[in-house]
Amino acid sequence: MTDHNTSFVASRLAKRVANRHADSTTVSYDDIPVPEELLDYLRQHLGAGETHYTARPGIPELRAAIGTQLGKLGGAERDADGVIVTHGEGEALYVTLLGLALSSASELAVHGRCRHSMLLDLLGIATIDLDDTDSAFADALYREIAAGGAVAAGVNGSARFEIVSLGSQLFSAESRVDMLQGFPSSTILIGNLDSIPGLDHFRLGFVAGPPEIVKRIQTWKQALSICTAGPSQRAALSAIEGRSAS
Amino acid sequence: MTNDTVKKGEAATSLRYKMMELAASMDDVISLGRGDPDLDTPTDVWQKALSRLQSRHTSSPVRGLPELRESIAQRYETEKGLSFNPDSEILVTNGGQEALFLSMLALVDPGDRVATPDPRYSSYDQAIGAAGGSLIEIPTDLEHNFVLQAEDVRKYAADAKVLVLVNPSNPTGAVVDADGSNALAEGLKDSNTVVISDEIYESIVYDNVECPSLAACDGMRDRTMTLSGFSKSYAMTGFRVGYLVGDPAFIDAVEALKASMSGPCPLFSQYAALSAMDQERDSRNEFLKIYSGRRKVMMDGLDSLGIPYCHPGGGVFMWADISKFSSDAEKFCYQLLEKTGVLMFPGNSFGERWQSWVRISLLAPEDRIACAFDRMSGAASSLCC
Repeated sequence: MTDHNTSFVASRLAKRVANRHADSTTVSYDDIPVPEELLDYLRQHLGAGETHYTARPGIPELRAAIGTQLGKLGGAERDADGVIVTHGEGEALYVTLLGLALSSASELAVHGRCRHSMLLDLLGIATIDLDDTDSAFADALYREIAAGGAVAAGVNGSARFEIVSLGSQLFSAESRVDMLQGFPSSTILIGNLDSIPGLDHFRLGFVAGPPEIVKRIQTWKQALSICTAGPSQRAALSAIEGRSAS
Repeated sequence: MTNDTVKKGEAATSLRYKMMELAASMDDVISLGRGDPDLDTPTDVWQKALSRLQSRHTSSPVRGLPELRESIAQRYETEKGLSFNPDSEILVTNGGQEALFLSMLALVDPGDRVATPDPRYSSYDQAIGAAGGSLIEIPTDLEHNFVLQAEDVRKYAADAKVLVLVNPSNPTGAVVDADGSNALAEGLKDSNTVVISDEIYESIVYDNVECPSLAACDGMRDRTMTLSGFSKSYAMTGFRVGYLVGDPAFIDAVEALKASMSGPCPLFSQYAALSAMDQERDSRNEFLKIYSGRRKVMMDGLDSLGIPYCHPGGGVFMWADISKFSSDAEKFCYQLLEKTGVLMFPGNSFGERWQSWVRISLLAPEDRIACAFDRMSGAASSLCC
């Protein structure tokens, strides 16, 4: 942290992050030009006055499209009520942890490759490497969901939660159609839409799960950033509709 | 996490959204509830943003594009006489709400006291609770037009780690002017309290009142973390762009948190913010005129019904005392909505003791605001509860 004559005294959390924070201060994006159709689509919707807050969990059509895609990959299909659109996958995990009341008193079993280990670490959530467990859930975790996929199971009191990060696999051309088969319908799925070409700089993520749990998570999404940027959501919808059409 | 604070915040927010959902299911509702400007984002802002998207960047720092931070710094220099280093003292966020949330995480440890004027913008409660902060309410009242008084800060919050001040205020519309800000600064000088100064309504100040950034007051620059954004000034709520200006160590801490949680603000949203700042004709002045006209209509409407209110010095809300109708603001607001199709928010969703107050937004055209008061006047006798 900067050495500066200051009244600022960082919280313990901020100090922990600062100690871990090294080289993630800039994010790179692909260099694919933004397609003319996407620009037209945004022009049309912005021109129609879509410059306001969207529905808090996200534009219903986009949430429904994400929910449908989960079904196509063998998972539990969700309608719009079971999906929240977020600012990236990190926000998706963070609001999920808050919504499930997973905190420093909680324990999470985490796949060794979990990309969010830093976030969990900085929140002080204890993690157990799943390689040390032999639960039935661990078997499911080891399914080949995707290279780089990350998975975690959390316990809060008597409640047990399973959170699976799909990374960018939801709309990836390489994703196996059965990759979500076998996951319990109570599983909470998080991920991002970065594999859709040209979409990574719109910074979109999602949470999907049973609507009653998603509703709890939603209160934290609202508290953190109200809703996700509307034009970003529209861009995703345009891209997804374009894929379906082709 | 401070569960009580979180629960209060959730309950207050949920009450407002429940009312909005009911209103959305009805016909011909005049919505004077939510703080989402009814005015659209100026066309030139999003058109220029689309042009910028055609030759877009292939990366973004988590703290925001350098040119956007540079523009923000220039504006502070020219409009407020404050010099900030765009590289180390400015960070762009996903709206003001994220700015506040990350600030709480960066500043507050479990058990720390976080002070806010009462009534307060209760949507911030969950952030305070998530950081483990303990909420202290500093009373404000109609006698002082709901302006936070320095002596009350000393009396109630001398040991607070953080003071969250929204100026102009949401929900009251009160403005801490230059003298008031200097008095607050003087009152805080012997404390260790850091101020989060939420100045999101800074461009909407009426009657040419001087409303400086708190950071401009003596001794406050290094202890004030200023929060602002584009949602209210440019009617850009959907783009979700806010920013924090403050101490480099604070910005570093927030950046580290943001890198883990959400990364940079979307490029297109940043382009829109950049385009707003280089508009040929600044729409903020035009918006101020519009809100000013609406404020007049609303004050006339309240006067005609004999409803006392906080004289709004700025922002987009009015705070009115409906005790002549009811001491149960929630019941009153439901009745008002059901009987007249007018949506206002109950005062108790901005602090428990405000059971006979309502927050009314200026975010509807003048003729609709006038119509809302006509409807209220016509149904006045049936609104008593």
